[in-house]
Amino acid sequence: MIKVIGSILIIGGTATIGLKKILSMDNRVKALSSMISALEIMQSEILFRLTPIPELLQYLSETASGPSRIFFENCCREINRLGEESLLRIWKKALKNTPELELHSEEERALLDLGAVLGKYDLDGQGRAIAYAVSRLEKILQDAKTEKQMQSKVYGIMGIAAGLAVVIIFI
Amino acid sequence: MMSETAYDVLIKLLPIKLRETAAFATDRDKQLAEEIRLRCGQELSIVLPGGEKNLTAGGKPVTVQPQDLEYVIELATRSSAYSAVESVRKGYITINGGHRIGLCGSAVVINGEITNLVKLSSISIRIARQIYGVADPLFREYGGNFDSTLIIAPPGCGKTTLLRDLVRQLSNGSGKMRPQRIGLADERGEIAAMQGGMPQMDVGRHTDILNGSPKAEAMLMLLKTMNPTVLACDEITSEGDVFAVEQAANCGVKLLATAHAANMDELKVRPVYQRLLQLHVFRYFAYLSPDGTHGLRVEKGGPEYD
Repeated sequence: MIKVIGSILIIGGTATIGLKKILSMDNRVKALSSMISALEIMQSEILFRLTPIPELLQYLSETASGPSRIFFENCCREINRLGEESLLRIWKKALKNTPELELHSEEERALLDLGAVLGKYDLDGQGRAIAYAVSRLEKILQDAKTEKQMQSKVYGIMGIAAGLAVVIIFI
Repeated sequence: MMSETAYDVLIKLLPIKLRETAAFATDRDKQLAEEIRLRCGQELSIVLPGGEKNLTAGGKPVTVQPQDLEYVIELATRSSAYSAVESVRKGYITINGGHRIGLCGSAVVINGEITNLVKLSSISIRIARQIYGVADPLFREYGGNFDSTLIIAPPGCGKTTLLRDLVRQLSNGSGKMRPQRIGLADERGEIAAMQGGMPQMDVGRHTDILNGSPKAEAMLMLLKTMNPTVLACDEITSEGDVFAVEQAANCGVKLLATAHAANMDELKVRPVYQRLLQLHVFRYFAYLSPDGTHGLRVEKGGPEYD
């Protein structure tokens, strides 16, 4: 009886590890999609309404969806410190404090590059900087979707198979 | 303890090193300061009614660096330079409170038009103030009957302050005068200092404000849409402005405006103003003394033109 319970626990544990990996890939896809949508709103607000950055961050913290909303909420919490801290520093801190974004180094780089130029240039410059960030994130999203499609079954099967292997070898 | 002055608020736009030096100004200088001046490679200074004065922190002067100007612009635009490009192109940024930051640098000219200012070399932060009652001498002249008025003075003598108080008193009604419906064309946002649809300066209860639009267009729009009895604008400078004034005057609307000149003789030699005076639109001419004391002299009538 103990062996059966032990086997179930081991297989359940390794399956959970596999499932967590699948969920992480799923969350990354959702995070990237929500960030791309938010940046597209940001681009329109800047280009067509000239919305200043503090109001824009506030707007996105209320309207963005998914993990990007948490990121913009974190930006808003610090935006009153503009002057004591640069916008880039506030942006960086919010990225660091939003683990929900499931950032890999490449998308983190794209967002940091955007943060470095945000609010600094004329409309044309802002529009191009945001469009560039969006195109980089779209490429990463495409890769993440492909990876998810290819790897999720593998992780699921491997999770269960690893548990079975441990059970067979040790129990 | 003294309450925070506009000066105290504005020095928060400066980088810490300059801010600390600016904070050393005496309470009297803080009250009287008209401008804070930053020029690359020069000492930080303020403009007082008597002239310009360099600031020091306990006798130690501070020199302004190019990055200091960039810092001021970043804070003044709240890290949103793109939202101010149109006004930067014209050489200024208006910030919360109606304070105006004048800019100098290298102009980027495309197809004969200035499209941007880069490599800033100097900044002048003009401190906007509301002085209640500064227009009282004019109301004594009106004696209950307002008529179109042109305020004439060189830059920095308080034209906008006087215009703001005139608008406020006309809008609310003053003495025997009934409240007027004012259409205010506030191109640079200095008169009413709009924020989120609310004026931060008191411009009266019956004032409709069109903010940020070129004066000429704004005056015609106000005329068509808001049915004003008085149209007010700051600094008539172009043929377009004069045309809009003429249109308004022909519609039975009274006018309130300002012009850059020390006196009528200076005004008369400039073609734009010659045309304006020939229209005989303005019945009152208010001259502000150039010493910054808001001393006011009022003339009724005007020069004769055929």
